Amino acid sequence: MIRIPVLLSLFTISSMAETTFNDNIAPLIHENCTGCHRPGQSGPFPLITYQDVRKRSGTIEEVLLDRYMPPWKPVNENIHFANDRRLSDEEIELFSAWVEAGTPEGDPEKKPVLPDFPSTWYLGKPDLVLTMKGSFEVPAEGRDIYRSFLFPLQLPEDKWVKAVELRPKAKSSVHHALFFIDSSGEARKDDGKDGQAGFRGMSFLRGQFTAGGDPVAGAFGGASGLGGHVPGATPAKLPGDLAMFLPKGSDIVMQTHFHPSGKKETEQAELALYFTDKAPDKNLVPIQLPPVFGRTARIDIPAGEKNYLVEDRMTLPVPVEAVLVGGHAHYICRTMTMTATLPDGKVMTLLDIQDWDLDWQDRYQFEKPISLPAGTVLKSKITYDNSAGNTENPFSPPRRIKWGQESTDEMGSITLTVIPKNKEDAPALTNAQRSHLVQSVARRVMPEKEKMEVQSYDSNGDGLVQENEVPARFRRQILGRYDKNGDKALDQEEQAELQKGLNALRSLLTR
Amino acid sequence: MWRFIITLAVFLGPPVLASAKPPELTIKDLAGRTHTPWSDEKIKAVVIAFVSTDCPIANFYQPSLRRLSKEFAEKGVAFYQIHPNPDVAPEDAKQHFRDFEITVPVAIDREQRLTKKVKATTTPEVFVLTPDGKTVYRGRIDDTYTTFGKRRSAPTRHDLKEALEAVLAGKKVEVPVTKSVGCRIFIEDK
Repeated sequence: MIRIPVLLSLFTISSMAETTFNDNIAPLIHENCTGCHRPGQSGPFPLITYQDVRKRSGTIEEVLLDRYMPPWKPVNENIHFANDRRLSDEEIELFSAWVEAGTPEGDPEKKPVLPDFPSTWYLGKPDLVLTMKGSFEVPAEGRDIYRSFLFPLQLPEDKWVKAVELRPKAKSSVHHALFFIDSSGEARKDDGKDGQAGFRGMSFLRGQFTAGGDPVAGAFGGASGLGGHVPGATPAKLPGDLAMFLPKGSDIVMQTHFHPSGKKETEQAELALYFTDKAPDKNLVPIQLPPVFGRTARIDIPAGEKNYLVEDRMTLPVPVEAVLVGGHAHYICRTMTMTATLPDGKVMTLLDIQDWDLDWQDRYQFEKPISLPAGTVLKSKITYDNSAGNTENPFSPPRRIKWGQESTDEMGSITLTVIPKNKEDAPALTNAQRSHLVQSVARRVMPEKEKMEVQSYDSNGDGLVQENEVPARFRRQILGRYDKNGDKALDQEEQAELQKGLNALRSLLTR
Repeated sequence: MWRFIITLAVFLGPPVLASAKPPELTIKDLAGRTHTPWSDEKIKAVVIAFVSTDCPIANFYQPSLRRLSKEFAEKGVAFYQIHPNPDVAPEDAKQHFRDFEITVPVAIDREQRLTKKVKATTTPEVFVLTPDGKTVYRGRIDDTYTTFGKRRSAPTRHDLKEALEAVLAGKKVEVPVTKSVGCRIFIEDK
């Protein structure tokens, strides 16, 4: 091959020099594809050797041009992510040039060194390996399956978790899995209720939400979360001294999304845990907007609605550093954006997904932590397309879709995980979230305006508020709480108490 | 059962000209089982499905292929599955046959002769051949997959099924060519 004088432009060099596997393509593939496309990992075929890549060169070129691979959803312009897997246009052009040139191998003397991956657990020897309770048969075909499984744990002491790593058995069918901590014992009760290992939905989270549990404590990537197993994301230990809190006596629940793959498989996953002895100096605090996977947002999308919007916002009471961001929704979600409006008016886009795909629910780690001063307003915007034109719509013809735990229901939230700049600010941040949650819930159950005055309830004017005069929607709650003497009516004294409650609610909402 | 299957050789007759005589199509397996569908007068159509052991989209369609081959077997349609990748190891093809509970003959196109002849580009891709030597349908099985990674919850177009129903009813196939979403077949230049 003729060497081009260095003086010539780069463009000339790249267009004249022959693109070969050994010189150009092996580094590109090994760096960006082989992590998953190797035996034992989630990729359906290996991409390691020259023959592996040559044989699939047409397919690889198509998925690169389509940007289906490597999987990466955010399209933020000004914020860089540490785990960004996107290829540059030049890298894709390089691959195309190689295909165009007839996929030459290149100088046999320059065979690439094959990448060396640990053969067992990616992160090395785990501190504890758990096995899923029972085994679950994944059928060869049919709808996607969402199912939660129990990893019984109940350790006698609190632990700090640096990382989790999943090894699924049903490798072809497992699409992704999210891990949750259940300290309520609900998951144990639900497990196997329908005669098969595991249970449907995430009702164990409801227990934590309504039974006074703290949905913002000790979480990572969601309410009581413990991270996830996502195709294309290599397991990693949290940086620095960061760790996730695993309270004693709790179990781990894995919510798994299966794509039937064409063959029957049996799932009985193993989960490796990596601990650290020390509690972190500062805690990760996930801020979920809207909270509880969008439950408080009363998602209710009419059939045919093309552009349904869910929004939420929260003001940061203290300065924080944002470390990662990710979203959760189901099939008909289309876009997801989170912005931060700084006190000086500057707007930063923290997450921008324009083509939501529930298959790739990664968490995106900022290249450098992003400083957000106190007074920054976080806004999340999530849109849904419930029309027949949306091929992802699980219903044909479209149906009304509401918030729910089935995959054909919808959810929607964006979680920004932050670290308070000052350690002593952590309670203020937690309080702000709690009050945001309370407000969201209050808004959700808020009576219509005129119902905020107890007097307006007494429609027969007898001075008492009888059972049937209380709005039906709140009858049980109101009588249960305020009808102290149990006579199914509120006397003047009881009405005064109710009015105090309504006033408190009103002040929460107008704060 | 898999013993019949096959690995692996596909023999084709001379180029087919428009004539009343059915083209020659011989699919032979290593176990010695030879399939010559056109020698059976009851066969009204042949479906050649190009498949792969490791293309997730091709594998996703295996249950559909099984159902269709069963439904149309008694109506005189013979299904075959062809691995267009000449380097597939017979053991891998057999394992794949068992894993996906395939019920029709499978062959490896060692010389890519059939693949090149019908100009197959993708796995999965199906071709419906008729005794007059014509290819009356080529393309996808149905429209469940709309692009890479995007699937409908249920297909809205059942292209292969409709093509077979048309052929059996003696009608013209309304949509004779569709684009199949899947993995590119690598053609060896020899």
